[in-house]
Amino acid sequence: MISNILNLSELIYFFSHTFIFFFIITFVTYWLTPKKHQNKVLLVFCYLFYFSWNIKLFSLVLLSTLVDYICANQIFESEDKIKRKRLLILSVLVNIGSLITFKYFDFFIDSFNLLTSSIGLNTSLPILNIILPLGISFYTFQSLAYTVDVYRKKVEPEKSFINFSIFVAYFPQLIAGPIERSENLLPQIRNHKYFKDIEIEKGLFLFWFGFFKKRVIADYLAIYVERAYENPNANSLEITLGIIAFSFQAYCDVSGYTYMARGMSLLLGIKLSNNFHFPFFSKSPSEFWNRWHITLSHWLRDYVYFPLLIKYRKPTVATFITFIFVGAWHGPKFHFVEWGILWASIISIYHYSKNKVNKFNLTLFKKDSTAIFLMFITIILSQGFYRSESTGHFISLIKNILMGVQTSNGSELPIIPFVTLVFFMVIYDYIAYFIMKKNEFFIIEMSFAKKTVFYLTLYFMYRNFQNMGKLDFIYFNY
Amino acid sequence: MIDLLELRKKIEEYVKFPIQEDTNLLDGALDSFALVNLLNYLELKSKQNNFKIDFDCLITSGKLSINLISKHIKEENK
Repeated sequence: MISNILNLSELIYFFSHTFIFFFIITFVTYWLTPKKHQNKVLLVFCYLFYFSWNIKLFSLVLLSTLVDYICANQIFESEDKIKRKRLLILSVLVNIGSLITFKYFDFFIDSFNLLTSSIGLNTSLPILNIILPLGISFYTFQSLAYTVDVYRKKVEPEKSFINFSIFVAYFPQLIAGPIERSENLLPQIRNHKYFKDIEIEKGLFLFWFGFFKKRVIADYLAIYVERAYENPNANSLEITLGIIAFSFQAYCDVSGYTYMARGMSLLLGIKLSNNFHFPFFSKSPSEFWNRWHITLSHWLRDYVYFPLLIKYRKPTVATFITFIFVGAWHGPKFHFVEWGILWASIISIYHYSKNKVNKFNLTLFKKDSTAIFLMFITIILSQGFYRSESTGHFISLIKNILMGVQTSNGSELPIIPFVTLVFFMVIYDYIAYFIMKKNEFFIIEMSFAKKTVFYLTLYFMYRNFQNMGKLDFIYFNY
Repeated sequence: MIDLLELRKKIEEYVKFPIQEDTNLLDGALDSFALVNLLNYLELKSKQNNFKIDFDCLITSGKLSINLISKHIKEENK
């Protein structure tokens, strides 16, 4: 009976029965273990979590852990500038090297084959079909940032190998972030945690609301997105809904994962960083990137953008290089690089036009509501561009909208679920941001009756808007 | 080593509003172009007054204020 419900291959999905069972066992064992052995137990569960997916590729997690543990400690102990730099380079090579090899190697081979065949040479190098190791884009960045911070003398290295191993492989955020800084996560791992201090209600709220965002809103909106992007017979209304739906799907998918990660981590006595801060209410492109996938944006700002700015003193150049990097990070496709260039252009254009707005005193554009509306349209279009297969595909979708194409094939999707889900998310965020003054936990501060109404609403929506297919978290592919 | 009053005036010129010693300049106050002006200014002052600044260490983790600049310069030039 239990084996019918639990399936080891589903352990990595936070919304699966197997994971819930795994987490309950972890939670109980962790809190029943004496303080001085608690971290050893936590590490065992972190490694079990990754083993369940792929034992062989777990060696990469171990490699990052070993290299960065040794390099950081050696860098700290050495006064020799050349030795310190060489150790830093070793860490960069191992982390970025494994990321490039496993994520982009086949892409490079494929591109090389295409290039040579286009100029008449027939060099067909074999594609290796390398499996993308789960979470590699996240744990390599986290581990590398730690070594860079030790090199910059911002933090002292962790002496305990067990604590550092948890820092790299902490299962709530191993696969899709948030990308934590050592100064936030390591002290929390190091310090003893007490059951009486854990914020149980906040943790459960974050976990269940994250589950709702992912399984109800993101997965249901995926139906509209698929219709728009994968059905050549979609009509203009379906394409419009699909493009809008993708921004909300991406938001609820990734922020849903983060909420679940933060929730379960709170139950283990560790506070993870917030990754999304009401991004649809941004008033400028830069503000949007400070509110969307915050830990990735800040990582790029501190380890790519600022070093470039300090070295070359050219903000536009630094912006373009950073966003090309952002695009490439999202996957081995030229289209993602184009998307990065699109965002760099938006930011640069915004910066130059901002000065014009100030110069000509265009009060309409200075209003917050106008700025939020214009940014909302920009976000929807740029995310819509990201989801398309290519620039040509996106242009053809927009053309079909503008031409009012009516060629729907088969039954049209009902509009009510779309409106209900999107409005629910917008209104929830509006209340939390504007009325409750940026308080994401306002629900748990309400009266019992109001809380009951809220949770019943979630349950009602869960029963009515379930996409029966189990969809991966979007960032599992990164 | 650095005149904090002059530094504050200079930054207020860039951000176009009054700031405090602990105002985080990277929290929306300074845009990238103004930040480059500040870097150039600090570099010029460091050459004129012969002190060291390590910008890679100073401008990380999303925090930069007059207090942090002053503290960094003191620590770098002990």
